[in-house]
Amino acid sequence: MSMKSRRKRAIDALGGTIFFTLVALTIAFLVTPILMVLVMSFDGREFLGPFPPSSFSLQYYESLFGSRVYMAGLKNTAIIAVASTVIACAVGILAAFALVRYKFPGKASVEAFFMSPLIVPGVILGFSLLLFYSAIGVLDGMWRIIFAHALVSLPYTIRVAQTSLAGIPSTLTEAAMSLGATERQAFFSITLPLARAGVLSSGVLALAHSIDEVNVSIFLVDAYTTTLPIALLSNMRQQFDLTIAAASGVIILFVVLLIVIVDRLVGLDKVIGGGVHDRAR
Amino acid sequence: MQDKFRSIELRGVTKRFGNFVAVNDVSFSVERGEIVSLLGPSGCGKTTTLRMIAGFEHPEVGSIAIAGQEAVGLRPYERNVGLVFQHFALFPHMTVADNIAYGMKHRDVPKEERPARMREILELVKLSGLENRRPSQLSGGQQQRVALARALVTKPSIVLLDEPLSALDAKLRQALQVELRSILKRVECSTIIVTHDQEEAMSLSDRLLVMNAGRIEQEGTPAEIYSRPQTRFVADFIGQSNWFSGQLKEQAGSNQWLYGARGLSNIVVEAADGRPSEKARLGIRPEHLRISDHFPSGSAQGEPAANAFSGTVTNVAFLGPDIEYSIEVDDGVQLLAIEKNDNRGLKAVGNPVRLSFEASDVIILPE
Repeated sequence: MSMKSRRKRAIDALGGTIFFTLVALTIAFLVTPILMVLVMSFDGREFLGPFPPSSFSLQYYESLFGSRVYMAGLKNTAIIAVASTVIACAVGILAAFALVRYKFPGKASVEAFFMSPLIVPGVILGFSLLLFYSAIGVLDGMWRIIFAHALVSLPYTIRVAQTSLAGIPSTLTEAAMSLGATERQAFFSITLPLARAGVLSSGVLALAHSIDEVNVSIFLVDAYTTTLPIALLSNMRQQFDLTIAAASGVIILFVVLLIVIVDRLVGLDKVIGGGVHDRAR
Repeated sequence: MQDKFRSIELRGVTKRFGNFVAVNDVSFSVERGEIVSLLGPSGCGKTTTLRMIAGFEHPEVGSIAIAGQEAVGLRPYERNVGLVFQHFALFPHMTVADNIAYGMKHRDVPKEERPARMREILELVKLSGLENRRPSQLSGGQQQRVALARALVTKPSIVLLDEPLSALDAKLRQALQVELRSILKRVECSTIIVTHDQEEAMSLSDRLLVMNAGRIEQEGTPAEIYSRPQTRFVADFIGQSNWFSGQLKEQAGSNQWLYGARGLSNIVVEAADGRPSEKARLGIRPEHLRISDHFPSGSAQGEPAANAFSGTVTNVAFLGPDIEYSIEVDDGVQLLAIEKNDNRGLKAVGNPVRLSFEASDVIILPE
């Protein structure tokens, strides 16, 4: 082997090493804190001590599940997450369908408008929604937050649905119509089933987004309706204990379950991958 | 029994996209059970015509009657038109049987009639046994037959095929051409085929409509169009020709004219309605040029025979069944001649040859 080729190989090997080190560091940085929280949630000490815990117990889980405030928050969070996800997905796929399939005046502006919740800071959005809801008389905290979360999730559901709809040839709709189906029947029997992975993945995004939403919700909660993240946040400021770690444990468990279910239903690679549906060929 | 009406009639159909006239005053009709091809280059308006018949585009002017009923303004699902897409557009999430049943369901075929029709159509397109496959598990030829079955099973008044064989490879195309025609003839379904492939059009159809720049240039049987093209465009689009620019000089018999052009002498052609001194183009199909090695001894000196040139072979392309010769005739003009491969060897480049043709085998077009 010549000197030159030896040097080329060494540079290659060095590049590979740097790449893998970076990847390993990133994973460690993402995963370690989560693992630490999980371990700390089983802390057996009565006080907030250093990591690792010297003894283990389920006391913080007991305090989480025993707390009326947290349990009410958890229930609200679940209801809000599901309801806002349904709304965001339904509106998202219809909007995406219009944006992908049709040309109409002002299309670019409409698209930009749908994406605007990504840019407007949550605090501003929350406050303006509070004013708006009061003006039109929506006083129920639950509905306020459901619509707010749907609004915030909309850019994600539209984007994901757009990607998946763009891969479905419009000739399939035309074929269905030439076989006697109306445009609506073609949408529900052909387009929607083919976009199901995209719809599901936009649902996962919306759900995840709603579960930990704080910025907007904090303006909209009332005395009777609070969400789990907000309950945890306000509690943490009053008396810091590891109940928040136990809540994290519960949420992590939920997310893992969600991932497993999605994987079983459509395959995780399709949902995360963005290619998103079985191609015709 | 089939329905009483099985035809379509377009009258003065025009369609614009902005300033571009895609289809310009097109009129034609298709008789019951007839297979007609709309043939033309891309952008000639043939696909727009097809989409107007299917109901995806709407003409500004003109009428489209399907089975005797005016269809302009009807939605695609309100007209009984079958459609086979270029890339088949099979529903990928459905089995073969579900694909075929889709139209029966939406066109309200009675439930008890569906299984029999399904069996019949699967047998017709030779797909029995594959009804539970997904389209992705089928070969290109099988997918095409599913698309055809799906379009035919609802017994449409007319079926439209968009470039039906272009998505398949060459070998398969040949086999399917024959099969496709026999299937369409057996169900006696009126058919319009849209294609840019002259071979596909000629082998599949009873009648051709050659389109160019939004208009129908000529219509007729494949043989009529090939041997008697009425415009330069048609003559060039369908087959090849060697062209000369010149004029009909004087009448030399009934329908026979002396033709003069640069580098040509002693040429007699048949022209039905010529006028003396009329400028005219002369076209000769390559396969109508006969190639022989030598001049007949008698005419080597003195008067050369009528309708003959001498030349030199400049290129030989061996195509298997045919041999294609490029031949430079005396004046530097290059001609193309095609000879059947009779296994008697090729003429070599540089060989002197004699070319001749019959007066009746020419295309004469007004300049």
